[in-house]
Amino acid sequence: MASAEIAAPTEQNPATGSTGRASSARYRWSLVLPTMLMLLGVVGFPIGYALYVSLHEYDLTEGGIGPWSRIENFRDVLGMNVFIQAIQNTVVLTISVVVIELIVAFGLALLLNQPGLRFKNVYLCILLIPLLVSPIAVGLIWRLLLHPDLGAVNWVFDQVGLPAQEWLSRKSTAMPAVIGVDVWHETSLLLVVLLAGLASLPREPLEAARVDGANGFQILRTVTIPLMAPVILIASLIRMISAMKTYDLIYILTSGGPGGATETISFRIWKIGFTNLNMGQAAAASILLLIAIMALTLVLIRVMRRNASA
Amino acid sequence: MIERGQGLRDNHRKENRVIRTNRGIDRRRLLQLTGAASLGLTLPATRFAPTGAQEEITYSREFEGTTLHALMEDLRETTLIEEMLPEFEELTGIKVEFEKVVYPVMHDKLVSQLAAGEGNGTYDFLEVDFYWVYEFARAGWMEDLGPRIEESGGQVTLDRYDPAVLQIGSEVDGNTYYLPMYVYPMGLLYRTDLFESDEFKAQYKEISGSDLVMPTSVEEYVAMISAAQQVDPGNLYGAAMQGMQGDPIVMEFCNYLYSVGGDFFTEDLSAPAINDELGVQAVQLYVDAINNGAQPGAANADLNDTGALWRQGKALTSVSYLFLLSDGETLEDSEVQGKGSVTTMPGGTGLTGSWSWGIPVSSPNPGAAWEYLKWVESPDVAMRRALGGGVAAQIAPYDNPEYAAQFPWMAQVKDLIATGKGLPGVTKQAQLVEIMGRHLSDAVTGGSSAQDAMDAAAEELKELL
Repeated sequence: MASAEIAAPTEQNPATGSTGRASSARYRWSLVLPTMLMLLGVVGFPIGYALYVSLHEYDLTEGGIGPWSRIENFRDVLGMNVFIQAIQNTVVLTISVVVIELIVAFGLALLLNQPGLRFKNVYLCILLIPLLVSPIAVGLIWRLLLHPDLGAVNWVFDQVGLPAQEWLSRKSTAMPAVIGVDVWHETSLLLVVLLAGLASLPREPLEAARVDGANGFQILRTVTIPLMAPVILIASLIRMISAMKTYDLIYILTSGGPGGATETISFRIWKIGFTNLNMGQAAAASILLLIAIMALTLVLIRVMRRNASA
Repeated sequence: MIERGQGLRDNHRKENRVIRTNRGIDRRRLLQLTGAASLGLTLPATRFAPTGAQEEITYSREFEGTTLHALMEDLRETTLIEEMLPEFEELTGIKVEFEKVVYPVMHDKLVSQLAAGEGNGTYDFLEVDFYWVYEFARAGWMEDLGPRIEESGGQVTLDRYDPAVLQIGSEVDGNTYYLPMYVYPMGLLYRTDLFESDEFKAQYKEISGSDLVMPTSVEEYVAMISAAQQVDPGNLYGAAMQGMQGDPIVMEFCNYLYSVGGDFFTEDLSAPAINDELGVQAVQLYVDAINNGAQPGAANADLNDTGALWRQGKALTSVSYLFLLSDGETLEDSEVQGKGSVTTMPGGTGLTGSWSWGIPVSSPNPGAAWEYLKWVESPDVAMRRALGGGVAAQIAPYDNPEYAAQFPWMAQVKDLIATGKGLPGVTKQAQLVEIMGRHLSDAVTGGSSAQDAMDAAAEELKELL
């Protein structure tokens, strides 16, 4: 019956007397509505409530939600030096990990996508191991590896004649160390996405470029990368959003230190909410993070559409 | 306190364990003592005479069939109590279930439950860390236990406890919201074998130009560990320190601050005092200690790191919790068994933390919870918990010859408790720790001078008043 309605949307429905188009619209809505209601409940309500809380005074130690405070919480949060520092740290971390992971993952994906490569699945399995480890475990493992006295990293440095480093306890090295750990952990995710993208590329343009005499680099630059652009953008977007929310790795590796040098926005939001117990400010900071992520997403989607239409 | 990646390390930090001193207790004696403690736990008939005018404790069966729920830190004290719970059920008909978690998740879980409103929470009673006591009480989340104590007619009395412990973890604004559970004082742990070694003392004197003696001030302590650091570079550090941003650095720093006579706020809590001369001096000494007398990476080290270093025998001293000594004395892999001891912080005042019991306003069964508190803090049960390895909050265990024989170091612990201080009585002590942790870490890693860091900290601390 449904297919009949869709096939002939303008015909009169003898049973209901309504037009096929209207009936079809109702039918479509009836299919979508449960999901929309579910989304409204599990996504819309928390966001709406967070917005409501962010516009009110709400300190847990002073009872329930207080009076309407307009944008006071947003002003307070943006006035905190430590929050501004967290924004800067998050930007540095996000850009660094996305760029490095993208380059490394794309390189690995190209290698793994070589026709006739033996033991491809073995390599892939090994490369996927970090992705299977929880961030908490990754943090604990790398805390030991980066230990100034007992860590394997400094041992390797020692073997090649480089001085030992206090990786996580110096401002100059703490963030690079965190970025390095994140790259080790998360590159696999991009690798999987990019490898799938490469495997699904049409062979004809590549073969045509080869027939035309293009070398490997030229094929990569003028054929592979343009064809892969939508996949790269999607992968970057996913990774960027998750990098902006980095929390657990920081918690274990440095606890935001030294001196706030590795504190991210998510970590600071948790501190405002559950240490300062100021839910109004925590909600305001969360809304700001949400806006940043949404803006970033919209920009990337727009770029993607432009590329697709081009 | 948080300090919370703290998952394992913080869980560990709070753990009070059976320890022994270096006073010639051999492994056989230790095993005998452990066996005796276990026996004590398994013999419910064992009873100890209550102190003072202790009334006989009676339990109501009014709440028979009730099941109490509590969020408990997963550590030895919890296990000790858990093993005794069948006795409580037999006495009252009340069943108790512990939800055991690691320390770092406790505050978040408790806060969301406590904010649930009267009678709507999940937990019937709480164990509360010493720097949540003001926050929880002043937020109106905790029941004032004063009336219940009064109505008990002497069955529950506060004179069982050391007044210092009551001040740290029991009383808020003149009301008694909590009953002390156990304490975890900090002190100066040191290697007796090195302090007694002629060879080490000679090497030390050659470097420092002075004899190796127990320091009497923080300045002397920092000078000592800085010199000791040079005796056997890379193999022995002056101190095992925990400078990780957050709880670790603040807990350790408190000992420096209190011992030079400084504090976070003025005595009347009207203004921050952390950026005054004493506060800045304490920070500078702490920075010197971590840069010149501690292990590499101390600025991001936590309790697990210092514990490992201590057990490896790579530190002459550590300003830390008692269980660090305990682990060093008892764990199989320890290189320092029989080589450690503890004394009060040079300068005289260290940090003392404690855990306490309380009944939240959101408790669904406050009456039954009170029966539990009566039981768990009864002199008999408290004594058996102490003999099982707990650091007692009540006075009686310290006067018990069996306890003293079993844990001879408790005489020193008693001094630590008597001279120790908690955190200032501001409502948001956890936020105080967060603010101080950030700025101390900044000073330690050279991000700002001691004065600038404390000026910035003072600005933020003002908001807590």
